[in-house]
Amino acid sequence: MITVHEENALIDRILAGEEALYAQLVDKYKSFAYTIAIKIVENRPEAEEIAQDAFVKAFHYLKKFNREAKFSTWLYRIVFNTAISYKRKNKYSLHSIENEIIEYHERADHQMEKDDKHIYIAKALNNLSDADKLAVQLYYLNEFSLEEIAEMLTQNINTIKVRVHRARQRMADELRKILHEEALTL
Amino acid sequence: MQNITDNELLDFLDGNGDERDRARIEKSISSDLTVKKRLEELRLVHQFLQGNTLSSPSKNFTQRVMSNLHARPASSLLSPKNGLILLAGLLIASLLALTLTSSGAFDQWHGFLPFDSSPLKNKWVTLPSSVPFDIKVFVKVVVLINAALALLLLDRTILRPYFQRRKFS
Repeated sequence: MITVHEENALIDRILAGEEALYAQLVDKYKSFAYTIAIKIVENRPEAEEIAQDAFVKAFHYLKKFNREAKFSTWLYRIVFNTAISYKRKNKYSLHSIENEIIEYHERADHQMEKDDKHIYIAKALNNLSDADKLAVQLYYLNEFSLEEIAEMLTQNINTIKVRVHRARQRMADELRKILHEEALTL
Repeated sequence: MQNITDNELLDFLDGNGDERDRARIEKSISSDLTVKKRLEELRLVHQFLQGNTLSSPSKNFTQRVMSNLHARPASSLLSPKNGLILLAGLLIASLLALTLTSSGAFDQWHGFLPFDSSPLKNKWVTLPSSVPFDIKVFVKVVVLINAALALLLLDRTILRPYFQRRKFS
């Protein structure tokens, strides 16, 4: 685990011409970048392409990284912007929602013993606005602080807190509605 | 709901709040069925979201990034859909221009461009009084430029992303 100070020293060496050292930064942050991209585009091959593209962009703009924020926060912002712009360009893609449901369905099969409620919750998650969905998913990864999520989404912490609370409330409301409808049909 | 809000229940699930708040919520849960039911709904959502974990990219991810370090970032290009629309537009405009040219629609459009009253002309800059101008030649040049742009678009927005994706998958 390298410290912020060591990371800055590493960046200095990369900027001085030791490009091969960039692989250390890629290795350290690739899972985070890939996960953020998946949460946005909901498709694994596209997320991989976006994460790679974001790392290449970060390398190109490394000189402009001003060290006021952490490298990770700066990188996540690039990943977020790359993914959002990719999603906008390909917003009529047909596979996204299906992939998301399958992903959660598989997880539900594995961990929650085929509990139907989890499939309903996955559907409720898909019905959220993109911003609420992303905020709540990043929050539950337990890998990013609220400050990091706020900076990534260019919103303040309170807005993120509201989004996370509201997303969970809406998912619970949706679950209640579905279960109520199901009970009526029995 | 005995003044217990969703936000308080969510904070309770997140482990936030002090001892007094938690005791008040626990008391409410044990005495009020509505609060208990709502907490269960929120808990199901909470547990579901807790299954959210970091995903790992492919094994050669780092290697692929390092080999593309000096490539132009791919996502800054036009989307395939927009590229296709632009390509179709270029082809339609070129075909229209060629049809009009071959049908003789521009045959009368030639003559001389006068430079007598040009503001550029002064004692240091000397310009001819006029130059011959043929719109047919001009249209053909535009069509040629369009064809070059169309090929570039085809490569950058359709073929290259397609083969890159195929290579990846």
